[in-house]
Amino acid sequence: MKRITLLIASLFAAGAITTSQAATGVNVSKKDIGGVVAGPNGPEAGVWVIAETTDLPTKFAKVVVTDDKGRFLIPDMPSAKYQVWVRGYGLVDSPKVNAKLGQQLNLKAVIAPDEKSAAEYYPGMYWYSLLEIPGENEFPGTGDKGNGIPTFLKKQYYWVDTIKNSCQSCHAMGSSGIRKVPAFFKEKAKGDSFVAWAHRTQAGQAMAYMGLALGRLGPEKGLELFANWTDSIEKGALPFAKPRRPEGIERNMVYSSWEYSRKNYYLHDGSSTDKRNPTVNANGPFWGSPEESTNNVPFLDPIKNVAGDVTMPMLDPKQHNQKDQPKGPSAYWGDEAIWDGSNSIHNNTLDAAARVWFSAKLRNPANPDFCKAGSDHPSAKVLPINESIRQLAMYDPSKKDWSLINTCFTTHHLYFARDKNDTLWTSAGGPGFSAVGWLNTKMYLETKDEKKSQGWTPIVLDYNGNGKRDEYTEIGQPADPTKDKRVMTGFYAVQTSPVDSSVWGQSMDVGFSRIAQPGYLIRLEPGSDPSNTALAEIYQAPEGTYGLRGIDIDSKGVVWSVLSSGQMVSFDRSKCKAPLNGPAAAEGKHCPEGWSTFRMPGPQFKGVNDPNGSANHAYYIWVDLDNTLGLGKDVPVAMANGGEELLALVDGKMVSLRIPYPMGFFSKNVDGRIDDPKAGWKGRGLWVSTGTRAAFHGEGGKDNLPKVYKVQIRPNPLAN
Amino acid sequence: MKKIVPLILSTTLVFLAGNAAAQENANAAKLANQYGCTSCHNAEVKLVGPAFKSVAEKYAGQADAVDTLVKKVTNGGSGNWGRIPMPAHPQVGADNVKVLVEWVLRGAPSK
Repeated sequence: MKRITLLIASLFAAGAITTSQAATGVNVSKKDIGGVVAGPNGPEAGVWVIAETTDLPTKFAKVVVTDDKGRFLIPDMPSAKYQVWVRGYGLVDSPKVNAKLGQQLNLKAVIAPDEKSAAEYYPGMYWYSLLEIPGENEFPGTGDKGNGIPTFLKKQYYWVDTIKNSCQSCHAMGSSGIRKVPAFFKEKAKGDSFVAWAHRTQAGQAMAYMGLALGRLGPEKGLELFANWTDSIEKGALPFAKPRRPEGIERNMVYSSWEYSRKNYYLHDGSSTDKRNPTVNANGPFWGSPEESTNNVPFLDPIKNVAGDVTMPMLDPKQHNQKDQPKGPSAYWGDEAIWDGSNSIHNNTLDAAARVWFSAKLRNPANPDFCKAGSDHPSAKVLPINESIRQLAMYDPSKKDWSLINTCFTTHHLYFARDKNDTLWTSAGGPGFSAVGWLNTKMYLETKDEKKSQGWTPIVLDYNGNGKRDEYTEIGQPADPTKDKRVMTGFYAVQTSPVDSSVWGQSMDVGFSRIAQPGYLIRLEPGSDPSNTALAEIYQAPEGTYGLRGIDIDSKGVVWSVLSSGQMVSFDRSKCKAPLNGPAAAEGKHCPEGWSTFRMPGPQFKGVNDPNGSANHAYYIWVDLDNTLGLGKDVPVAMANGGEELLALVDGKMVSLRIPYPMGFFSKNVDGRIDDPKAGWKGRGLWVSTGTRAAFHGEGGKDNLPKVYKVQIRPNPLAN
Repeated sequence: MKKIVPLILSTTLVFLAGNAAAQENANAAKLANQYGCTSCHNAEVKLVGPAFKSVAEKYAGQADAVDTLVKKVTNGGSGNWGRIPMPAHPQVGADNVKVLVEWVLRGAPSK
């Protein structure tokens, strides 16, 4: 009797008791956990219920949202014992309770005792927006002997673009691990916050990258403002804006997450299928790209809940390894070199046979002779290339076999065309790599002839407007109205059109490139012999916006992107009225009517007077061509890392898919897969990998391994 | 003829010495890139750290300049160039650090 009394007492103490369907109205099957969440004020609507287990081969969690009566149902769970708790805006986490499948739970929400406690659960941008931005009158910068802002930062938006597209390219800015300076650095700096920030930017193997980013901001100015930011938070500053709880269809979301890779590594992104046909690789593994951290390519089998990895070989075993990078002591890892990669495995994508194609660094930069001047390669005759930073690799899981493809052009992102050659088009990264490369994968797979199967072209505008590629002026040369004009708009993003033969790219703005030119959308029409016939059009983002990043294209040929000024944006070329070529089109300002902008939700930075934008920032964008998520065909989804969310635009309204656990969610791309077309919402979902370089800055610290997330939308919050 | 031979010899020696110096500079520049020095330093202008040429000017004529800077690069330091500390770079190795420091003191020439 004593034991029973203790058990009942402990259950009540934990804030949970089991209940029944009659009491909750929630239909819980043997594979679900359901129940009700209530607090002192009654049912808690729009809060998250998190169930997590370590019983499976890899740590697994599933998260749902309560409905308007506080009811929840976590569906379709792998057999295991779970810990369940409640998280939500206005609350602090409830105590974790043990639960089994089939149980009905009464969960007790815990109201946050104060605003500070509540704000710990806000997405990073609510904190990041407290960062002081230098006033418009401080630009152009007057250099290190002036106001500390580099002279090449000519306008305030250059600065904002930099703290987004440099800092937020890799870090979940504003998340707990960023807005709080570890004591390790404070002690090392003897309490000087500026010096503490200097030490933290020198920590670990990213020291050189951080140095580059600081150099872009003006190091003294940048460190001073970041130090002031964290000092003010330490002294009690709180976000001036508050997030809202999930509403409407946002409450229909189901998130699953699995750990993969290792705690000392990080992921750039990953893929689950072939974008051209999302039924490819149904129920198969998700493949990650670990960028600089390792050559071990991780995968997750979501059916068996098993994670593993395969090691990518290299062409030159002597190429530079991250272990040799300069590094300062880390507050998390001490003097340990946690990255051991050399292949810089940036992206991957799957083909129709579920082979995995990667952009990766296989050797040191010097190109083979066939890439250079004097070569008989058709593309080298047009544009010899002496160096490339990354090349291509392919893994065939069915054969457990790697192919390494030595390309002359640098690769970054990669997508397949819908053509007879299964052409794999690539981007290069910064605008300075002003060539676009491709691989005829059909030819390569048949012949393994990497030289013959690849090609590349300079990016050339039809400046004389005669509809064909002619002799062109080089980058930096004065334009000649009788010739075409090559431009420095190397692709950062690349995507092939689902409606025609065009290939679209996007080049980065000043904050990423440090080149005093705007970012562009670029449309490339390859023509019959792309090295000699490809012609480009360029388009600048709408007036008053900046910082294009990432692209995808919907089924009508409309191009989608995101802006560091805080918007999602679409470009419909069919709306353009002015001629698309010729001298008047060479600046990319000839089609303002093609653009539509959609403000991303969230506060604006203090000191930035632009109500049309926000402090939110998205790394990339993806369009759901096949309604794999369940929000509709052609819905664009932005990786809005400021909001620690995936942000979908549905019928002109933003739908926030916040990933609330672990906090610090940061992603760089997604894809959608259909595992079973007949299974309704259960047979489809969106897949995404952790993308921050420092997952240890997020909730859980060093124990926060990279994760694969599956995001689904069900018909209602209680569907199973 | 007697005058021409020494002239050819001296010209050749100057040419060879120039080649050797250019090779040394190229090697040092490669090391600077390899070990990430150029992420924070530039030959001409201040980035995160001082311009290499500023360092050369500051230490010009100091007999112990090489030893002093080898220690600074290896062990880190602070106080001479503003508030941002120079991090320690033990992984570069003593021989490489010496090559780099001597190159910096020559003004970090690219050739």
